[in-house]
Amino acid sequence: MAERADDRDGLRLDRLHVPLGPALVDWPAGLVLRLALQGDVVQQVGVESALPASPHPPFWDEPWLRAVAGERVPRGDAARRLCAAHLDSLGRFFAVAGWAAMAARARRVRDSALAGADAAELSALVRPLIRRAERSRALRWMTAGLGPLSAEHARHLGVTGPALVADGDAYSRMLVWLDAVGRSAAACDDTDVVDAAEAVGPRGRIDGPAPPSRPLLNALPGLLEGTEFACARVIVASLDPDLDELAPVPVTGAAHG
Amino acid sequence: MAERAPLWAVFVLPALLLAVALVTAGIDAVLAAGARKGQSGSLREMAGRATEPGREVLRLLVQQPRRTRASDVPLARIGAALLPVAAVLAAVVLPLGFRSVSDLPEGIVWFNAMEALAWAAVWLAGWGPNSTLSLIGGYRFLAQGLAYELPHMLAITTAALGAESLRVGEVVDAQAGLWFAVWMPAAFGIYLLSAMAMAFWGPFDQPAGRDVAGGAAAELSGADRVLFLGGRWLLLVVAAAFSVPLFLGGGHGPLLPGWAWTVLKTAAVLAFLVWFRHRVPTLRMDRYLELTWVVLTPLAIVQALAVAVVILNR
Repeated sequence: MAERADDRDGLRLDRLHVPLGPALVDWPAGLVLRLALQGDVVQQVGVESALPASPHPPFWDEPWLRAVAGERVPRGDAARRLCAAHLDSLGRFFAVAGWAAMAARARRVRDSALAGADAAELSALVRPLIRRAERSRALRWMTAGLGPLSAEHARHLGVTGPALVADGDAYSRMLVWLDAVGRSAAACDDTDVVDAAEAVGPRGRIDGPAPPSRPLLNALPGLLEGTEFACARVIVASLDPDLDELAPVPVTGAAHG
Repeated sequence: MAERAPLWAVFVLPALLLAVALVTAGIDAVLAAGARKGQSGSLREMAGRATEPGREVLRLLVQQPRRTRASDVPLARIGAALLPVAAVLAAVVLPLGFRSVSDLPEGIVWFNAMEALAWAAVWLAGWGPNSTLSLIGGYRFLAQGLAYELPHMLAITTAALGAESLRVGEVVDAQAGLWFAVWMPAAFGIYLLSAMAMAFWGPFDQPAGRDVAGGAAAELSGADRVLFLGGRWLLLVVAAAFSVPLFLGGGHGPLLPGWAWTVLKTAAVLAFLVWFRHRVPTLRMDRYLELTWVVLTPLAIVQALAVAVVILNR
């Protein structure tokens, strides 16, 4: 199982081949990374995303997909879904960063967002969460500098979502999520209609040439190689690709109208 | 100097530690459930949450053990069993009030040696099952050991220096007037950090981190798992309790008897450690290592030097 290979320091060390996923706790469901590890340092990454066809459109993109298909979707519904999607991502991020209490809180708020809490109620729930995450120096110390993705490189890869806005490391991507959670929680009673030309879901533009999670997956190997295992998990969680977006839809046109 | 406790204390000690560990685990479970499901007002529900760890132990004890392919079973077993043994042995020199099971003349060294057994325990438990994630958990604990042990040893040495004795009873006696925590605050702070690290607890729980599916404990099941995770709780209790004779004046205090002061102070330290874990994310050891070598170790040396100068001039 283990052969030897040169490591970064010119030593010859055992190399372990370890698949991560498709099911792993706090992991984007369906993602498979084939890692070559030396010790706990990631040397090589292969990304696989072969998924079974799904009869349902990707849950987190649904309001925007419906808007693109020509349906009149209230902005409030989209904001609610965006808020919940980012809270879901934050839950994974906190869990991987080893902050179980905050992960549990983010998930609880996500559930109440999906259960239809109104804007005032939801804002009251997210505000302390955002404050605590922003104020945590330990969190900043632990996640700053991991997986830097400049806006330029992100644009080159075709990333359109929070990872592009963040223009930086895992920590700055989390800050973008927090910011979006706060704003969308306040907007979740809005009754205006979503503009189909501006269909930007939780992970980026819905109407682009590829689903927004595709460029996130393409960014993974470059960001992960050479990182320590714990850092690699944080980087994956900070991009949080949604594999549902890549699942083929069996009935043509079912999701896109 | 601490009195020798009667012989039956040898049997009471593990039971007492176990009881304290269970209560602490119960409080921790209440806090964790509060984050997960929202605070609960009803007493019944609270009690249900508090008994969760106890029920988990019973569940694990009747669980069908599972085994990984090509695992080194004896190695993993020894690792799991060593952890509670190390914790109880370390507690032998722990005075309750002014009585300990054995007030060894070099009690502080004994304590440090016993807690170092945890290094072997976690490494064996991580190595044994032939699984990557548990192996990474084992690696991480060794890295953690490198990070915390040096400032930790300097911190407990400082307390011994202040009392001019390695005997725990004499360290307590030396604090009759003034607690060591007051004039050795840096050593006390460093001790608290390393108490958490020693039990790979709170911000130092990376060896058993969630991102490696429980790390060193990932493949343990059934009774092995009870021993390992229970041993970790015991270790936390012992590490917290040892801060009382070292820095918080042991059984010294007004009005109440000595044992009551020990219990109260230990409870306060434990409550702090449990609360702290829910406040901060896990520290990555590559970052913490930097802090320990650049800040904590020099700080501990300066603290020891200051104490030495005070003692010499007395």
